[in-house]
Amino acid sequence: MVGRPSALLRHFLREKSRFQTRKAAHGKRPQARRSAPCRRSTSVAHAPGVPGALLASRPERGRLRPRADPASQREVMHRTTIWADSRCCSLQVSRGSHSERLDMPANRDARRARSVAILHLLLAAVLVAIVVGAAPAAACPRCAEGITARSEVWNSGFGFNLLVTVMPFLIIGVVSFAAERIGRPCPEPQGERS
Amino acid sequence: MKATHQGAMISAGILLGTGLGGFVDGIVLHQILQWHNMLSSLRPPTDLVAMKYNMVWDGLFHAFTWLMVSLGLWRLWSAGKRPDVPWSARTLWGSLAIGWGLFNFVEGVIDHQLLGIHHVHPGEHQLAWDLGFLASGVLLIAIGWVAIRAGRADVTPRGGFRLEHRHSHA
Repeated sequence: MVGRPSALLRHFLREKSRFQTRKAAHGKRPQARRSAPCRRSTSVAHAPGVPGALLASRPERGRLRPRADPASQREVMHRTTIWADSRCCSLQVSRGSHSERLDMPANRDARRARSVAILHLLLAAVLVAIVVGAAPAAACPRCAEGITARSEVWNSGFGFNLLVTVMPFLIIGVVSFAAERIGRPCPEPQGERS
Repeated sequence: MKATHQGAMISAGILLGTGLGGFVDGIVLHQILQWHNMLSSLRPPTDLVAMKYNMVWDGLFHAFTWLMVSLGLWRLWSAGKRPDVPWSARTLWGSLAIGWGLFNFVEGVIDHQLLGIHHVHPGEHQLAWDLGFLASGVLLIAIGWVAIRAGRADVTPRGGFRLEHRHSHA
């Protein structure tokens, strides 16, 4: 079910800000153990100053779920529940019967990266077509040497030569993509707020 | 807030360094010194047709190099907008060096040693030139690694700003 996105998100941001302000004021950190980045979090956290806020991760599901303290059951109808996907993909914010899924920056970045990569591949294809096929625009378009050279480019292992030319860049591109994950922060578990 | 996501800048630097290293190779070795072309071992540029043939493939090589630079610029711009990415000169320069070194090493291994489509300076002492090219790549990677490790101490994001909470209810 989807509620009023802007009000819900404002509430979520406000609660998050209050939580972080209190955390800084108390000079404490949540008693969380984080064993590995993002993907399989096994931490159990108490959020200070938040009654009944207890988070536990369930590795088999890969999600962080809130668990209510029995003493705060009367606050069930009013609490804001924040579910964090430990794979750093999204947050689901729900309050009562309203909920909304919020994409984490990593998800938006991934989509943007894919779009840019596709654009660059299209540009590369256009460049290849221009370099190889634009005979009228080339110097010496009708001289025998030019015609022979362009014919040789197409007919003598074009695919293999293209693969050989691009392979170092592909390998380094993969290395660069892997390096991007260095130091990437994980979203911290959020406590329940009334 | 401490910025610790070095990887965003490292990724950008590697792409930029690869592109810049590729341009050094293409401009200096292919065009100014004319020591080799992309396929000069398969089709030696001894006549006009062969020279034109190699020029096409050099052009494609430069096209992909240009793409790496443009991708790197886009990644660098994206990294600069993020508050969790440290804006570190050491990290950037180290990543550039690693990118250039990776280009020298990977291109040297694949094109010079494994496939033999061209060599750095064909003829006498060809192997020495090729091995020197590989060694320059390893050296650049090592220098870049040291710089990046030193850059881990830099934790200030671009502009030195900190996250401010607009809705503060203490």
